[in-house]
Amino acid sequence: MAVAEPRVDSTDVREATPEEGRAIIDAHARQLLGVSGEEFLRRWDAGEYEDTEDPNVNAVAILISFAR
Amino acid sequence: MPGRNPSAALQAFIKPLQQNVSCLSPSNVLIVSPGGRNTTNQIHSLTIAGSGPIRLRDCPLFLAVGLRYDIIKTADPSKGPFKVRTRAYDYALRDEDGKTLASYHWHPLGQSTYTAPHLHHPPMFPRIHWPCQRTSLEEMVRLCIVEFGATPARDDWEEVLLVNESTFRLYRSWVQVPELAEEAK
Repeated sequence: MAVAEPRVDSTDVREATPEEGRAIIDAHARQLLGVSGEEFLRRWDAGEYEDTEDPNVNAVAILISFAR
Repeated sequence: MPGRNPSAALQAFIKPLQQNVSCLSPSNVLIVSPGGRNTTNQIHSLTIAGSGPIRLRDCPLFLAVGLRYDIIKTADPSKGPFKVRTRAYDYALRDEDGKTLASYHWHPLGQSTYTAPHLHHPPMFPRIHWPCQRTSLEEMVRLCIVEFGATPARDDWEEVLLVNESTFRLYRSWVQVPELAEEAK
Protein backbone atom coordinates (compact mmCIF):
# COMPACT_ATOMS: atom_id res chain seq x y z
CA MET A 1 0.00 0.00 0.00
CA ALA A 2 1.71 3.21 -1.13
CA VAL A 3 1.76 6.13 1.26
CA ALA A 4 1.88 9.67 -0.01
CA GLU A 5 5.05 11.52 0.88
CA PRO A 6 4.76 14.22 3.52
CA ARG A 7 4.72 17.80 2.35
CA VAL A 8 7.94 18.42 4.23
CA ASP A 9 10.93 17.07 2.35
CA SER A 10 12.08 14.19 4.49
CA THR A 11 14.69 12.69 2.18
CA ASP A 12 17.49 14.38 4.13
CA VAL A 13 17.66 13.95 7.85
CA ARG A 14 18.19 17.27 9.58
CA GLU A 15 21.12 17.15 11.98
CA ALA A 16 21.70 19.88 14.56
CA THR A 17 24.96 21.78 14.71
CA PRO A 18 26.56 21.87 18.15
CA GLU A 19 25.22 25.40 18.61
CA GLU A 20 21.72 24.37 17.62
CA GLY A 21 21.95 21.37 19.91
CA ARG A 22 22.84 23.49 22.92
CA ALA A 23 20.00 25.86 22.06
CA ILE A 24 17.55 22.94 21.99
CA ILE A 25 18.60 21.70 25.41
CA ASP A 26 18.52 25.24 26.77
CA ALA A 27 14.99 25.90 25.47
CA HIS A 28 13.62 22.67 26.92
CA ALA A 29 15.38 23.07 30.26
CA ARG A 30 14.07 26.60 30.65
CA GLN A 31 10.52 25.66 29.69
CA LEU A 32 10.24 22.47 31.72
CA LEU A 33 12.57 23.04 34.67
CA GLY A 34 13.12 26.79 34.85
CA VAL A 35 16.89 26.48 34.53
CA SER A 36 19.31 27.07 31.68
CA GLY A 37 20.60 24.18 29.63
CA GLU A 38 24.04 24.73 31.10
CA GLU A 39 22.65 24.59 34.62
CA PHE A 40 20.69 21.44 33.82
CA LEU A 41 23.82 19.70 32.58
CA ARG A 42 25.75 20.83 35.64
CA ARG A 43 23.09 19.43 37.96
CA TRP A 44 22.87 16.24 35.88
CA ASP A 45 26.61 15.65 36.04
CA ALA A 46 26.64 16.42 39.76
CA GLY A 47 24.06 13.72 40.35
CA GLU A 48 21.46 16.15 41.63
CA TYR A 49 18.81 14.42 39.54
CA GLU A 50 19.75 10.97 40.74
CA ASP A 51 16.71 8.78 41.44
CA THR A 52 14.46 11.59 40.27
CA GLU A 53 10.92 10.69 39.36
CA ASP A 54 10.10 14.11 37.91
CA PRO A 55 8.87 13.49 34.34
CA ASN A 56 10.08 16.94 33.32
CA VAL A 57 13.67 15.98 34.18
CA ASN A 58 13.39 12.93 31.97
CA ALA A 59 11.86 15.02 29.19
CA VAL A 60 15.00 17.17 29.12
CA ALA A 61 17.42 14.32 29.80
CA ILE A 62 16.19 12.41 26.77
CA LEU A 63 17.60 15.25 24.66
CA ILE A 64 21.00 15.26 26.35
CA SER A 65 22.80 14.08 23.22
CA PHE A 66 22.03 17.45 21.65
CA ALA A 67 24.50 19.01 24.07
CA ARG A 68 27.25 16.38 24.20
CA MET B 1 14.69 -0.43 10.86
CA PRO B 2 17.46 -1.91 8.69
CA GLY B 3 19.73 -0.25 6.12
CA ARG B 4 22.75 -1.07 3.99
CA ASN B 5 24.76 1.64 5.76
CA PRO B 6 24.24 3.77 8.90
CA SER B 7 22.72 6.68 6.99
CA ALA B 8 20.29 4.42 5.15
CA ALA B 9 19.25 2.77 8.39
CA LEU B 10 18.65 6.15 10.02
CA GLN B 11 16.66 7.41 7.03
CA ALA B 12 14.50 4.27 7.13
CA PHE B 13 13.91 4.92 10.84
CA ILE B 14 13.18 8.65 10.50
CA LYS B 15 10.97 8.57 7.42
CA PRO B 16 7.86 7.02 9.05
CA LEU B 17 8.31 9.24 12.11
CA GLN B 18 8.38 12.31 9.90
CA GLN B 19 5.32 11.07 8.04
CA ASN B 20 3.55 10.61 11.37
CA VAL B 21 4.40 14.15 12.41
CA SER B 22 3.11 15.44 9.08
CA CYS B 23 -0.32 14.05 9.99
CA LEU B 24 -0.51 16.78 12.63
CA SER B 25 1.50 19.56 11.03
CA PRO B 26 2.89 20.10 7.51
CA SER B 27 5.75 22.26 8.72
CA ASN B 28 7.24 20.60 11.79
CA VAL B 29 10.33 18.55 11.03
CA LEU B 30 12.39 16.19 13.11
CA ILE B 31 15.98 16.95 14.02
CA VAL B 32 18.70 14.66 15.35
CA SER B 33 21.61 15.48 17.61
CA PRO B 34 25.09 16.19 16.19
CA GLY B 35 26.45 12.99 14.63
CA GLY B 36 23.00 11.43 14.73
CA ARG B 37 22.78 10.87 11.01
CA ASN B 38 25.38 8.14 10.74
CA THR B 39 27.59 7.69 13.82
CA THR B 40 27.33 4.13 15.06
CA ASN B 41 27.48 2.73 18.59
CA GLN B 42 26.61 6.04 20.19
CA ILE B 43 23.35 7.20 21.76
CA HIS B 44 21.68 10.02 19.84
CA SER B 45 18.62 12.17 20.46
CA LEU B 46 15.76 13.19 18.23
CA THR B 47 13.05 15.81 18.68
CA ILE B 48 10.96 18.41 16.86
CA ALA B 49 13.06 21.17 15.32
CA GLY B 50 12.47 24.85 15.88
CA SER B 51 10.19 26.10 18.59
CA GLY B 52 9.50 22.67 19.96
CA PRO B 53 6.24 20.78 20.47
CA ILE B 54 3.73 20.42 17.67
CA ARG B 55 0.75 22.69 18.04
CA LEU B 56 -2.36 20.64 17.38
CA ARG B 57 -4.83 22.14 14.94
CA ASP B 58 -8.16 23.22 16.41
CA CYS B 59 -7.10 21.87 19.78
CA PRO B 60 -5.41 23.80 22.62
CA LEU B 61 -2.71 21.17 23.10
CA PHE B 62 0.83 20.48 22.00
CA LEU B 63 2.55 17.15 21.30
CA ALA B 64 6.18 16.95 22.37
CA VAL B 65 8.38 14.21 20.94
CA GLY B 66 11.71 13.03 22.33
CA LEU B 67 13.60 9.88 21.40
CA ARG B 68 17.00 8.35 22.03
CA TYR B 69 18.38 5.83 19.60
CA ASP B 70 21.54 4.22 18.37
CA ILE B 71 22.71 2.84 15.04
CA ILE B 72 24.33 -0.56 15.26
CA LYS B 73 25.62 -3.25 12.97
CA THR B 74 23.65 -6.43 13.24
CA ALA B 75 25.00 -9.93 12.64
CA ASP B 76 21.77 -10.90 10.90
CA PRO B 77 22.38 -10.52 7.14
CA SER B 78 18.64 -10.30 6.48
CA LYS B 79 18.39 -7.22 8.66
CA GLY B 80 20.61 -4.43 7.50
CA PRO B 81 23.45 -4.95 8.20
CA PHE B 82 22.83 -1.68 10.02
CA LYS B 83 19.77 -0.98 12.09
CA VAL B 84 18.45 1.67 14.44
CA ARG B 85 17.25 0.82 17.93
CA THR B 86 15.05 3.03 20.04
CA ARG B 87 16.74 3.39 23.44
CA ALA B 88 14.23 5.72 25.13
CA TYR B 89 11.18 7.78 24.31
CA ASP B 90 9.11 10.60 25.78
CA TYR B 91 5.82 11.60 24.18
CA ALA B 92 4.01 14.36 26.06
CA LEU B 93 0.80 16.30 25.71
CA ARG B 94 1.17 19.83 27.05
CA ASP B 95 -1.21 22.73 27.42
CA GLU B 96 -0.73 26.28 26.19
CA ASP B 97 1.14 27.17 29.38
CA GLY B 98 3.63 24.39 28.75
CA LYS B 99 2.31 22.21 31.54
CA THR B 100 2.48 18.48 30.89
CA LEU B 101 -0.97 16.88 31.05
CA ALA B 102 0.09 13.34 30.19
CA SER B 103 3.29 11.72 29.01
CA TYR B 104 4.29 8.28 27.83
CA HIS B 105 7.83 7.27 28.76
CA TRP B 106 10.43 4.61 28.45
CA HIS B 107 13.85 5.65 29.73
CA PRO B 108 16.02 2.79 30.96
CA LEU B 109 19.09 4.99 30.42
CA GLY B 110 17.83 7.74 32.69
CA GLN B 111 18.15 8.38 36.40
CA SER B 112 14.75 6.97 37.31
CA THR B 113 14.52 3.56 38.89
CA TYR B 114 11.41 2.79 36.82
CA THR B 115 12.72 1.26 33.57
CA ALA B 116 9.60 -0.26 31.99
CA PRO B 117 7.29 1.71 29.68
CA HIS B 118 4.84 3.83 31.63
CA LEU B 119 2.52 6.80 31.66
CA HIS B 120 2.52 9.95 33.79
CA HIS B 121 -0.46 12.11 34.64
CA PRO B 122 1.22 15.01 36.42
CA PRO B 123 -1.83 17.15 37.18
CA MET B 124 -3.25 14.58 39.58
CA PHE B 125 -0.36 12.24 40.38
CA PRO B 126 2.91 14.04 39.65
CA ARG B 127 5.35 11.22 40.25
CA ILE B 128 3.31 8.05 39.76
CA HIS B 129 4.38 5.62 37.03
CA TRP B 130 1.32 4.02 35.46
CA PRO B 131 2.45 0.82 33.73
CA CYS B 132 1.60 0.42 30.07
CA GLN B 133 2.92 -1.37 27.01
CA ARG B 134 5.37 0.18 24.60
CA THR B 135 3.80 3.23 22.97
CA SER B 136 4.41 4.21 19.36
CA LEU B 137 4.41 7.66 17.84
CA GLU B 138 1.61 6.42 15.57
CA GLU B 139 -0.53 5.77 18.65
CA MET B 140 0.21 9.24 19.99
CA VAL B 141 -0.71 10.93 16.72
CA ARG B 142 -3.91 8.89 16.53
CA LEU B 143 -4.68 9.86 20.13
CA CYS B 144 -4.36 13.54 19.22
CA ILE B 145 -6.68 13.23 16.23
CA VAL B 146 -9.26 10.68 17.36
CA GLU B 147 -9.48 11.36 21.10
CA PHE B 148 -8.59 15.03 21.35
CA GLY B 149 -10.17 16.09 18.07
CA ALA B 150 -7.13 17.70 16.49
CA THR B 151 -7.70 18.42 12.83
CA PRO B 152 -5.32 16.26 10.77
CA ALA B 153 -2.96 18.03 8.42
CA ARG B 154 -3.33 15.49 5.63
CA ASP B 155 -6.31 13.58 4.29
CA ASP B 156 -4.55 10.20 4.23
CA TRP B 157 -3.55 10.31 7.91
CA GLU B 158 -5.30 7.04 8.72
CA GLU B 159 -3.47 5.19 5.96
CA VAL B 160 -0.14 6.76 6.93
CA LEU B 161 -0.49 5.71 10.56
CA LEU B 162 -1.76 2.23 9.65
CA VAL B 163 1.12 1.51 7.29
CA ASN B 164 3.75 2.94 9.61
CA GLU B 165 2.37 1.17 12.65
CA SER B 166 2.40 -2.14 10.78
CA THR B 167 6.05 -1.59 9.95
CA PHE B 168 6.80 -0.61 13.54
CA ARG B 169 5.19 -3.81 14.82
CA LEU B 170 7.20 -5.82 12.32
CA TYR B 171 10.57 -4.48 13.42
CA ARG B 172 10.13 -3.81 17.12
CA SER B 173 11.95 -6.25 19.33
CA TRP B 174 9.72 -5.93 22.41
CA VAL B 175 6.26 -4.86 23.56
CA GLN B 176 5.85 -5.36 27.27
CA VAL B 177 9.30 -6.24 28.60
CA PRO B 178 12.23 -4.50 26.97
CA GLU B 179 15.14 -6.91 26.58
CA LEU B 180 17.29 -3.86 26.17
CA ALA B 181 16.52 -2.73 29.69
CA GLU B 182 19.33 -4.81 31.11
CA GLU B 183 21.66 -4.19 28.17
CA ALA B 184 21.00 -0.48 28.37
CA LYS B 185 22.39 -0.07 31.90
